[in-house]
Amino acid sequence: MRLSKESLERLKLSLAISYRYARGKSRYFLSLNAFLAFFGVFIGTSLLVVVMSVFGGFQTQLKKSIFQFDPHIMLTIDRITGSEKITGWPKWKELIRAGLGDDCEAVEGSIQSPAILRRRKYLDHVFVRGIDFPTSDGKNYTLPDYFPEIVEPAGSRTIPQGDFAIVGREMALSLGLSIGDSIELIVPRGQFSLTTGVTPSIRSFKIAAFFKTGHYNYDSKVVVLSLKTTQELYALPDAVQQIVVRLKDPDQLAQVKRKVAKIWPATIRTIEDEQRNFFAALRLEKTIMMVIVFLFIIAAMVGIVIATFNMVRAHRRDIGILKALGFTRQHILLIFAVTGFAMGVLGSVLGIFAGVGLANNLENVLHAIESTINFFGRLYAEHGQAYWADVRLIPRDVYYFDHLPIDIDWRLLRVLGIVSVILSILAAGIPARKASRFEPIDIIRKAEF
Amino acid sequence: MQPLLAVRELHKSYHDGEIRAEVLKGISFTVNAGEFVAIQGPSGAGKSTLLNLLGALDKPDSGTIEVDGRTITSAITEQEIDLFRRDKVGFVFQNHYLLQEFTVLENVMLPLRVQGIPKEQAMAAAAEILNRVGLGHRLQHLPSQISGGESQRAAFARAVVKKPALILADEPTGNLDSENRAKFIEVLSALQEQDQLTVIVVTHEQELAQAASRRLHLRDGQLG
Repeated sequence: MRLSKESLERLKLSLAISYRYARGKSRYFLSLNAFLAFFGVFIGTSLLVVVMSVFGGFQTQLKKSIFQFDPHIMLTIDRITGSEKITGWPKWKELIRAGLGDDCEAVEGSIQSPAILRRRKYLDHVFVRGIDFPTSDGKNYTLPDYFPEIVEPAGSRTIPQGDFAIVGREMALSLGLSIGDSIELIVPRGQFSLTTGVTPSIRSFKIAAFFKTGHYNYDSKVVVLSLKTTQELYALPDAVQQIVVRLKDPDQLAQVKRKVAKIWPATIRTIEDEQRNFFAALRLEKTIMMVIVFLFIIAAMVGIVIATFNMVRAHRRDIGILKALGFTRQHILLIFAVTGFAMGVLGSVLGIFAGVGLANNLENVLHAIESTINFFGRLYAEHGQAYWADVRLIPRDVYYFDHLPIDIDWRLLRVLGIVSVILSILAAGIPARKASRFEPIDIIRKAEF
Repeated sequence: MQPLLAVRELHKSYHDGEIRAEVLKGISFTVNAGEFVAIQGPSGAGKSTLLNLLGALDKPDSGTIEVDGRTITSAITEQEIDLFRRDKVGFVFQNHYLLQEFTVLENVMLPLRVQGIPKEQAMAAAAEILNRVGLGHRLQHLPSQISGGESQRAAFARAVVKKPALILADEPTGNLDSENRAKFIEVLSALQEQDQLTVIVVTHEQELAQAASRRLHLRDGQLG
């Protein structure tokens, strides 16, 4: 559709009037009324982006720590305890690896079982995880890429073969362990039988390294051994309790599980089955956040509605005159809707960009605020002979994350942008439509009396 | 000669709940192009109602109004009304109703701009008419910066700038003091005569009525 020259002139006129009303009598670019409407949406949207990014960052980090350490799919024979031994597991391993092809990162035999840890007089229950580490030189095991970060010896990716264990950093801190220290593990030996019960097995291990997943339960409760050592400890020669699969893309869990089901005849459990409550909680949190996001935007848009209503109310008489001069309903609608719409869209778009910028630099911003507070605090303490304890907005000793995790969800931002545009149209359109329906005779009659 | 305005059997009534007040009771008259007509009558006689119907600000119950080849009836559409107001009539009200955020010049440009006339052309025409009504020195002033008399003359300039077929003025001097009233009548009469404008004015003021070439008296909804 092409606009005629006259229609284009009328459109330009309507936009010019709209801008003049938005500016009002202000010497600046916008009237206070229009500016507050814009500012409300801008602040609302940018804060929303920051909150969602930090929240998303925490969720992603949490998920990552779980997906990094736990196997993604576990294949067992015993449906109830998962402790039935699987003999001939290398054959199954090859079958599964061939069946999954590029989907899987690793397929391994594994033993995971509860144990009692003894360190001098201290006893605690832990989980032993036997991992089939590859070896390159016959003396050392090489830790695979997916294995969590080794914090001590920092950056090391090998451990000696033999009776060596890797424990989490939190366990090391709580037990006062150092590299080279000994711990004892007490485990049930062989398989449980009703007639003979279970025979305990006690064995001493030297600490080879400390790992850190960022997940407290793992870092304080898991002892990692090589699979060979674990098999000896549990008296399961050449057998494993489960075959574990790690995926390249954990989001493909459901699809890969279906593929595995065609190969593996017994029980298949995924990390999501194991951590069902945790993932359900994450999903619920996300849903609640989405609802809050929506309410947040609605609240910001109420500002646009109020601003547009105020503008219409302040120019009621003008509407009557403009209509008497031949302005159509569409012109009046445009005059009053375009300002509110522009404030809403501009506020949302700039708010999204500002929010992304702030989220990316949030840690620096918080550090700057922290430094400022502490500077004045120390100054006050020096002069007032008082004690000042430094404020820490991001406590470095908080366990889970050593930096503020930020995850900007661009898909969510796109949705936010689209929803903002739709709401801006409604927020500005509803009062403007009302204005366009005013009859000039009613307005002029009221004004005359 | 075909009259510019032909009103035939015009009826208009208002309803307030059960009560129906018949304001105009079958009015008919004609006005030729270039005529200056004053409509007089007591309060409540229906003068303003008649003027609003002539300017398509309101719709008649029955009867027709024909202005320069366009007909207004009770069945007129919204689009026809918009075009009629835009092209055929210019209004002057008792209050000037200038838009406060716009300068005097911009106010007078509005009727031309809504017709789709480019800005520069509209600006030249508006400046010319403002000069003629004695406001050449007030072009860039806001309505709040000029006097009531000047505002009313600017409103008159806004009504005539697009050279409409019909100019309708409802008590245009009602809010003016004697000096400004005289000035307004002088400007109105001069432009009407020079440009052969067709003007219908509703007024209580004898001074303004006497400036008209014809006077109609409206009593109890009928022309006397």
